Amino acid sequence: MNEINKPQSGSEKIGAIKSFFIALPMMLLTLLLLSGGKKPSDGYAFVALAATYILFNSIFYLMVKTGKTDKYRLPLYFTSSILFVFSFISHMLEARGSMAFTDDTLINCQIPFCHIATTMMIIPAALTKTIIFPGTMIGGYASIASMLVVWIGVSLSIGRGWCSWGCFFGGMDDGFSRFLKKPVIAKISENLKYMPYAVLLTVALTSAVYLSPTYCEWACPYKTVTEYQSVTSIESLIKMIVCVSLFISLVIALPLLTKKRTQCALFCPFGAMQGAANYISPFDITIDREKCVKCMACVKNCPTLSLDEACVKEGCAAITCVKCGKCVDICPKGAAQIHIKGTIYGLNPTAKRILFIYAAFLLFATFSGGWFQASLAKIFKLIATGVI
Amino acid sequence: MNSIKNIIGYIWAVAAILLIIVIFIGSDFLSKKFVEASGLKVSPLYTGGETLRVVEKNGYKMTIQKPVFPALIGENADGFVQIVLRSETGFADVIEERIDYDGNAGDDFLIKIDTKKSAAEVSSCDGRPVSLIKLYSLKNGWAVRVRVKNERK
Repeated sequence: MNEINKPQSGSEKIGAIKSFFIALPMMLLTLLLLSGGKKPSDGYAFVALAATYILFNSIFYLMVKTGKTDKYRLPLYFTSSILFVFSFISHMLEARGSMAFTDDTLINCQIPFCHIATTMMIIPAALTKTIIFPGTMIGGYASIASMLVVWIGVSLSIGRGWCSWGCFFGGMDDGFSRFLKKPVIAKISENLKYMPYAVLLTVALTSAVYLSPTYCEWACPYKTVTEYQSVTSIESLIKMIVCVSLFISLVIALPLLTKKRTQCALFCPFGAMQGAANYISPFDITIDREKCVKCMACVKNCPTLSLDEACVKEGCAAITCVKCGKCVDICPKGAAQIHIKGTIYGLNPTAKRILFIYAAFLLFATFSGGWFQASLAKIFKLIATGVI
Repeated sequence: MNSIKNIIGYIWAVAAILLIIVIFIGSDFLSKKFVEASGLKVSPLYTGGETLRVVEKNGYKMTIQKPVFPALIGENADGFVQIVLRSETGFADVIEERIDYDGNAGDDFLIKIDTKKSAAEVSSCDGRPVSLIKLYSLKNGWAVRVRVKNERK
């Protein structure tokens, strides 16, 4: 192995016993948080809980032991987003009999709230003290208040790390962006990085003017795999065509071709807003300029275009960084590191990384644990009995 | 100075971990507190506004909601009144209801719903302009939104 390819201190390996003890608090916390302190309702739920618990903790243990973050995060995150879609659709089919929402759903304010809608409701909420979304404030499936509480807490904790560890949609384009070994489209215009800010501004202003969540209604690609308005008019047909086209292009095709998270990096208004949360999070990604050999592996591999030559020179990732950990994993000199603001650069990188993955993985495990278990229970039941 | 910043940094990072635990364990409690503290509600544009009164009819229940004049600041000149009819036993082929939404003891408009054709008509009783915005088909009933003018504008 030549010198440049030898992994160094940014991603250190830890011994098996030490790794076990480092991972032990996670094992105890996830046991409490995944089970909710309650006995599973039936055999399928018990097996699903056990499978989820073992899988999550094995992955976390490997993250600690091997010093690799993204290598283990990605398959789990991609699986989680696929299971989210399965769980959501099956819930909608049970509750409504269809993925399409109807007049009844709207009039009764029963649409599950999604964090992306936050970008559209801030101005109206500030001025009218009301939320322009047909959901429930408390109770029910994905209530507005519970999602807002989680979003505020996560923003304070890991900032835009939400987009790599929490967002139930992010795993899709993240996963598709890793399927090919080399990108078919290698060059993406730098100017496209500003696109999400334009989308954010547009949806925030139009939503304030029309007092309706315009992105959710007209441009959300994920409607394709969650829920959508029943097609009863030309307008609803156009909305459906736009959403499906955006899903196919931004979530599947372009991530496959470019090896970038195109929906998250080039379109998502929530991602654009969430970048600001990186200012208040204690964790960031830094590049040790003394160790860096300017190979630009981090720049080439960053899935959200959050690293460029200027960032490498300055020694820190851009504010758009989603803290996936890929740059830390692949840096041949260990120059890319997870850093805690205020602490001394380059000192104790392993401890800093472990503190970060504790916060990020706890978010992942507790947030996705519910639908992970629910989906697995349904799948196990389907395999065993032939019915969901 | 550097060592103080260093210690604060690590404390901040540990607090970030604890915060994740707290928001999930205390989710229900924190959600309720958040709603109480912020005073936020779902927009009446979606809920149809607060309930003005509920009238028990022969075989169905009619809920008349307060008029809503949605605007980013203040009130709009145009708004709507939402009427919801629910029944456990079903409706007649045609329902006619006279609505007094401003509490002046006089009927303001008449709604006529053809439940077979899923169609509705609205006509004014007191000469003030009204029109149908939309008839919503519900699982166990109907909802009608009627466009009304804001008297205060």
